[in-house]
Amino acid sequence: MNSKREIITAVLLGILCIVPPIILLALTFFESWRFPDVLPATYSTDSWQALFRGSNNIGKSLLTSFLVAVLVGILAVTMGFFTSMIVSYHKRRKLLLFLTYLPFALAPVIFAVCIKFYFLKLELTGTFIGVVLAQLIIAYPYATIAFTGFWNKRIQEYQLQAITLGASPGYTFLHLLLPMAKTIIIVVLFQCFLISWFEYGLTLIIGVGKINTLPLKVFQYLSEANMYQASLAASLLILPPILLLWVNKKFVYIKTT
Amino acid sequence: MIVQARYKYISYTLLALFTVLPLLGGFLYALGYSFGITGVLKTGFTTDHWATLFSQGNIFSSIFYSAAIAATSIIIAVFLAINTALLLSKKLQKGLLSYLIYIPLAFPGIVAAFFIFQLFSKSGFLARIAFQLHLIKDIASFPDLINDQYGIGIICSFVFLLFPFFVLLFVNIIKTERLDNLKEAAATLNASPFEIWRRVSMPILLMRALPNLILYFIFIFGAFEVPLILGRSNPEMISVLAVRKLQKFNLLDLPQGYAIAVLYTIFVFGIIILLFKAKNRTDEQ
Amino acid sequence: MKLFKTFLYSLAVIVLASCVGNKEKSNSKVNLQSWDEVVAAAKGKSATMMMYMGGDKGLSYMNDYVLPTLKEKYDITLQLVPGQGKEIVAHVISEKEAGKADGQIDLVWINGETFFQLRQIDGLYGPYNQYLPNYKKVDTANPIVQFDFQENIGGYETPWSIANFALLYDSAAIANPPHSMREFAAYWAAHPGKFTIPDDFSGYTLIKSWLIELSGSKDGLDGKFDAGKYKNYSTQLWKFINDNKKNFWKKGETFPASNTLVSQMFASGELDFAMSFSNADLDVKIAEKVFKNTVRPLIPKAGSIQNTNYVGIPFNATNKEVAMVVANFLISPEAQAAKANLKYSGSRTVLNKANLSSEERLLFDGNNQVKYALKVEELMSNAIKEPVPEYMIKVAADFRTQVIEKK
Repeated sequence: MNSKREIITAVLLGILCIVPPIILLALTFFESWRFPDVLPATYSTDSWQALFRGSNNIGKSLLTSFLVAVLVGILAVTMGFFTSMIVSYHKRRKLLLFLTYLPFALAPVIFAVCIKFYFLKLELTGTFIGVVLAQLIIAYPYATIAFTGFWNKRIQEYQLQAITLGASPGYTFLHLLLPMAKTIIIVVLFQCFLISWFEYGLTLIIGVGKINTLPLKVFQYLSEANMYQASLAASLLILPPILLLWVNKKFVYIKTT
Repeated sequence: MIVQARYKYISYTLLALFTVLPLLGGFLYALGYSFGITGVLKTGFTTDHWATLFSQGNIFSSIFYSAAIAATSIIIAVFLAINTALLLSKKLQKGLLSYLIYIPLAFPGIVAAFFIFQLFSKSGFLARIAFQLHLIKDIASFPDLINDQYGIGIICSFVFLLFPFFVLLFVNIIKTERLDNLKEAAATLNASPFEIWRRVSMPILLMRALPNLILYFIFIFGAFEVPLILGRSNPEMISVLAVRKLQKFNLLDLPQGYAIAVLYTIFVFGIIILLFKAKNRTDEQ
Repeated sequence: MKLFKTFLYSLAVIVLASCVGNKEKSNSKVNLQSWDEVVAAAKGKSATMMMYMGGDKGLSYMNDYVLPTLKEKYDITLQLVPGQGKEIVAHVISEKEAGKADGQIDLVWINGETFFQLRQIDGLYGPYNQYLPNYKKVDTANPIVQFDFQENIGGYETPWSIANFALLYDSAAIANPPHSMREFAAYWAAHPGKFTIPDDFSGYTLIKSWLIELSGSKDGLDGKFDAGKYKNYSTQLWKFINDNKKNFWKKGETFPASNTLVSQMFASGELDFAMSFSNADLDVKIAEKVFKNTVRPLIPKAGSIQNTNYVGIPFNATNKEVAMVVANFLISPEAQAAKANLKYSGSRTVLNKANLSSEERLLFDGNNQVKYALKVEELMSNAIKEPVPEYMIKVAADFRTQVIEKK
């Protein structure tokens, strides 16, 4: 059954998936890697030691990134879950969905420059809350769109039934909707976490560089041509999502429409 | 009736706060700036900035270049992904490969660009290997793969980023559309494997995936980090051009930067209308 | 009705949000005449400095010396955020437009056209230098310090260190390096693909050196901006570059975004020349084995453009007193001596040694002398002044329209 072509493609695909993270991780141990050496003259754990000593601030960025992403994930999911119900049951469903698509599709850097004025007026630039709110502008519409698939006819009928049987909205939510939505909630939560975890443009411009998340750190090291530190920051950026994959591979698959 | 009124209002308020207001506010601000109505440099209404922008012409080459890069990346990624998905649909649903395919999804654009840079630059991994194998005689004779004329480095990054998404997307469609049954049916009608590929698999997969493909086109069209690291100084992709005009030596370029933002927003708006048309069609089927 | 209610709710949320955000205002009135009061007011506070983070040695000076010392001596926490010239101006402009009274940034690392543009929009706080006790040790009689790109600083920015422009080349590979534009053109023709101009301030400075060379004398571009002169020399220069760019890196069809990238390509052998603003940095890079020990500085025919870099305080800085304590510390003999140390950036001090006590002078004596970079005497004899900022702004814009975007 397994043709030669199939096996070769499978092996190539496997290599394509495994090699990039390995190279990135390897780079973090390189030292004095000069052209034309394929492998460096020496290896060192300096950048990792600096990380654990806290002298390069990457650890702090890791924490900032994590806090922002967790907060954005939780808020986006909570808000998006209910909004998507309203949107799904609304007679102008299409128009509302259209509105939610726009902020999520616009390039974050361009969008950020255009709305920075309002964030300044609200005294939100350079603050943790400001960055969380700015990222919600992308993550919340995303969550809303992602949840619309959940609110189908069947769910609607269950809800109606529960109400006819005299269940309160709170009870319906806790005992009917939540158990049914559990899987999709976890998936969307993880995806919103990733949107925030990877975000660069809005965080840079609304955070004025003060909310120094990992993507900003990668960029800063790149502009310093400090590729050893850049590879460390880059590795830290991709490792948590990869690890979470082994917990549940479904979490990362972003099904957008 | 299902939804209580106060939840409705909370939801509407949230939608207004997080989508309508920022969109409208940002757009009006950029529009005002580009016509000299607002900002430190306001002069009163003028169309000068728009005129300058259009007379320079690099806005058009930038839009064209961004669209070309986005389209090329998507076509290559779709072609690779469809054939991988068709060939390996079983392996991708179960077993080791079904895990490995998720790994590249953990790469954000900025890390993908950094990786491609380390791989493709003239002092990168490939150049070093080529040198050791005596394929090139010095650093200069390694081909231009980044900051290059054809955007090879940029396209490679995007293909790397898109490919796993598309593979999963197509595997999913193969499953839900029961493509295997259709293929079998076609085979009993004596269709050749190529004909099945061309007349059954491809059209169904492409049609189903179209809304997603359009959405990814928009994402790549406006991408910033990847072209910033791997691109050339001319032409630039639209986000890079806009940000350069917005943060430049010459203060007087600011309004032009906002004019680009306005154009870009209108463009994306248009494509999303297309996206909804495509979505309606797939939903109806 | 629905729409109206939604609108009301939204409004309420925004008002609430702005109240939450408004809390941390601290534009306290401190008596600037009494330095002790300023230091006391700054104690325990933090400030944010926006600076160019491309030079790794300058950054390690900040991270490994300035930040810990400030914490220890003044209990001040300084946070660094990345941003250079144009980004600083863009940020200050946006805060100015929004009428923000308590700005996000307290200190900025600037010079030349950034200072000029910030002054144009009234974006800087000052004059304040007279309140800094260490300011009287600064070499204000030196025109390179007192005039930033020939503009009087007028107390609106504090001198930090002196920089000079040079090219770098490998003396083992090039026995007779080119100096004049004509010699460069011959070199490019003989070695195609090994030269480029970064699209940043280093590249623009090389271009200005060539404009000065075209003017025929070291002071050819001195004085106020002269549009006629600029037009004349720049037309010749763009033609010179366009005629030769086929022999540049990637055939002159693209230019790297920064000298950081150029230095990296120079180190790997992809390019034959890099640019440098920090004289002693060469010794540092050789010690770190980033460059070969045969790399040497090369001064363009016109001379070595010298300028000073400064720190300034944005007009709306929230923690002005903290910023002033930091600025005063940066020009203290100990901080300047540390900055002059090869361990950090080996920068030239802005202090006048004659104004220092003998102990303070001793701080500088412990520093190693440069071995590969230019000696101070060589620097002085080749020094030329930075033309006024308008030249920089023009060069930056025209380099793009006349060279990068020209086929």
